[in-house]
Amino acid sequence: MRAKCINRELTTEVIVGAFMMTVLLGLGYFTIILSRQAWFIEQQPLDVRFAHVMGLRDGDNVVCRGMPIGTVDRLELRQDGVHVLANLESPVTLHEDYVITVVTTSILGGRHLEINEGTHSLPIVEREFYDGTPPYDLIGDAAAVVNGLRKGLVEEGTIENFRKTSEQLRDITTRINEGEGLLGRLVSKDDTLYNDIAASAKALREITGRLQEGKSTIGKLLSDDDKIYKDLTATVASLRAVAERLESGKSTLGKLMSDDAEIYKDLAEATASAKRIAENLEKGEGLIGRMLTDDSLYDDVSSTVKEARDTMEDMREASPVSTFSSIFFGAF
Amino acid sequence: MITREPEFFPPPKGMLGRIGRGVIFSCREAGLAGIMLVQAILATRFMFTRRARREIIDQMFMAGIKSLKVITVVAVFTGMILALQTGIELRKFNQEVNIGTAVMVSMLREMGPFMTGLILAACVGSAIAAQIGTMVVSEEVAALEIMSIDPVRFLVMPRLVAMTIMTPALAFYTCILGVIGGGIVGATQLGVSWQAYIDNATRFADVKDLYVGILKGVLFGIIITTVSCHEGFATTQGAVGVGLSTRQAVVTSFLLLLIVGYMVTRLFYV
Repeated sequence: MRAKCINRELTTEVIVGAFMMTVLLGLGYFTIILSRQAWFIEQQPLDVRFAHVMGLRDGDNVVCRGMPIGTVDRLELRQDGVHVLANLESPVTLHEDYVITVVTTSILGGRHLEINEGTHSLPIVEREFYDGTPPYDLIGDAAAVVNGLRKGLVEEGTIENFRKTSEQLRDITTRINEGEGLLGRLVSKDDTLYNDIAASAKALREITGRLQEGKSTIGKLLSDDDKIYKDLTATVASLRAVAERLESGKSTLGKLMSDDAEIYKDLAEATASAKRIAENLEKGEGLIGRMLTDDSLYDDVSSTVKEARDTMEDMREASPVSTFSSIFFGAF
Repeated sequence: MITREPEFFPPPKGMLGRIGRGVIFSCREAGLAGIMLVQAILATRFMFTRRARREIIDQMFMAGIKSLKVITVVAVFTGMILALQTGIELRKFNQEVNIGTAVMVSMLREMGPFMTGLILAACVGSAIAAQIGTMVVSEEVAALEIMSIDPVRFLVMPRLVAMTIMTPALAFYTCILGVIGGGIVGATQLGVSWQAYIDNATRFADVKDLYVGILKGVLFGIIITTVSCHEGFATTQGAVGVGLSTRQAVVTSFLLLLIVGYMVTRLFYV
């Protein structure tokens, strides 16, 4: 009975002790995890001077290229600014154009120290402490944007403009609803305009159909068959050749169009001569002039021609007799 | 002298009389509880005696190990509820990955110790009050005093030590299980990978959060034991009085847990 009692007591003690040991181990483990201290890793100290750290706290992460490489050990407020003393688990080499700044971790808050090592081709910088870039104040910038918007909306009359614009829009929509204007007529229950537009569209569709089918001259021009195009090209080529010939002064027309005035002079002289001849003819000078102006000469010529015709007639009538006589007397 | 003789007072006159008597009695009860607590703390110098050690281990087993089943279920589901409620809202901003932070910080700072305190007040505190109350009404406590055995050292000190040790331990246990429960919800319901959940949970929580939670556990253990023992010793009127004392112990413990929890948070975080 006593042994059973002792066993029960022992079991109780072991269970309670095991539970307490487990809890203490867990507590120690969580203490190490949450303190973010790398107790068994050699760390590289980093001292960064800021004018303002925007709420950075001890234990916040140090991030390089998106990877946590250490934690902020402590912050010291000195005469020359706020010194952030961090411990880095991975060594970081900073170059001349390095950037170290305080960044907001997430929308829910939190900060971390962001290190940009700089361009690797530039010389390495080794200092007692490094200068940090002023943090990007997201809330401050957002406040500035809001202030700018408010100024623009209230002070610069944007809201008034919106109000006027909305009034104009309301006026326009009212007019449209009342069926005024082209849009109003389109929107109204009267289908006349719609029918007209529909008919126009139909006509246009027919025209385009005809064009697509290659009917009519434009359709043929638009069709895939390039016969007309070739004809036109040939015509244009011919015209170009003609134009070239005209420009070069070949052929009569070309010579007429050329800068050489010889033909023009000849034509002018010929025209002057013709003019003089016409004047002489009008004056009745010369044979033709007299023929044109004096009827007696016409009569004389007519009678002479008549007499000559009579003579020729007589000779035609006497020619058999004379021919026979010639042959008869020629035989002797 | 722990054992009280029944007291009879004339009924109070008017509203002010009732209020005045209530205030005076409350102050008196608080004073008696405080005196008992100081006596128990002074009695801890005997806690390493073999008999006291045996009693403390027993009380730790009763208060801690036997409450593990209830605490496990409550802790896991508390973490799951926290993760689900927070995750649903954070999902609107595509920030559900941050449930780890929300669950971890909530559990460490407040929910872990508070849920543990509630469970222990309901399970252990009521048992203490009922046990001591029964001893009082059956005059076992009076017998102890007659035998010159200090009831505070004999009954209160082991329970106080046991609860002061076990409550923070169970609070830490609750926190861990709550975080695990939140991770289960994150992985199965919200599409947050376990690794991302744990990374996020440990990124923003601080050692201070952990140890403030532990401190709350210590304070809650002291409060539950003190209130329960005091209500047990104040039991009168037999079995009915035991029931009343038990109920009063649980209610008072709940209220004090809330008030002290707020004050500790106010002290460390504001």
